[in-house]
Amino acid sequence: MRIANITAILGMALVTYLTRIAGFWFAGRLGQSGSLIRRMKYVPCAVLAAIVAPLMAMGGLAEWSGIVVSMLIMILTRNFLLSLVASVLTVVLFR
Amino acid sequence: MLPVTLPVFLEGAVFGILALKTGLNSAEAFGMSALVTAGSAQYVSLSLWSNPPHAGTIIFATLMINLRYVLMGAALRPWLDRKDSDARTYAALFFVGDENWALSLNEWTNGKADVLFLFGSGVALFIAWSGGTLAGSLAGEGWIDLRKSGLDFAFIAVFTALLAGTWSTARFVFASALSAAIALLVSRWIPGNWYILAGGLSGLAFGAKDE
Repeated sequence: MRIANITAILGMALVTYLTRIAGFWFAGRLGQSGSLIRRMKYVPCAVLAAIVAPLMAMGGLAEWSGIVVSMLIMILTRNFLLSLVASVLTVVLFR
Repeated sequence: MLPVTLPVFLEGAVFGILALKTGLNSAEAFGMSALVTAGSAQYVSLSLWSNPPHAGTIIFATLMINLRYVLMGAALRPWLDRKDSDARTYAALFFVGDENWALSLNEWTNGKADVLFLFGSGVALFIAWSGGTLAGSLAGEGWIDLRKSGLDFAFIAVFTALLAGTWSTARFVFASALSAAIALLVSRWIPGNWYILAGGLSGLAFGAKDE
């Protein structure tokens, strides 16, 4: 193991843990009933949409079929496992 | 957790293989996955790795990519309503990742608010990711076809399913559409992972009008 590699890895580990605790800690400083906390309601779906949008944009017919199946099943049944398995199978079939 | 941990294990294996190609050894690849545990940041770090690596550049890129965790951590506050002195909460936060964060919020909106779910699902993903990295870096190349098995799509399907799961009212769908549009624009014009932060912050605008 080389010292430069270890330094980079340990530095990555430190800043990553800091990002994981910073938002939680900061939101606590603002108080439980702060308006920022109430505004957080739509952040989870916004983050998820932002993560997946560029991935969806790269997809072809097979991927889009899978995406539609995945979302429809989730909306209709709320069954995460069923949605995942059915959408992956859809993509494999279309390919 | 299996439908989420299996793709993560395989993703970790792919990371392990790529890390070898980049010039890391198995112990370093495994060490990074076990200590950092942040897939997208680790993949990007490999693209920046030279021999020897420029640690400052890599650490800064890691910070930028993981800024979304700040937003996600703040979103956890109403659910993990604990004292800052609670060491268990800060231990659980080490394991926050895109998947278990979303799964936990999904679980908690159904009325089961508990730090243990975040911790348990985080540990499962941690084991899958670091174990996958170790397996991949020991096994070397060419032992699975991600595309043929559809497992490359499973990474996307995890997020589309979790996203659709948040749509309890039409307003959530609108917030998602706005964020997706912003993310697409930002990802096209600004290099890096800023699009996740930009899209996520747009969710705050929706919350502001809600009051």
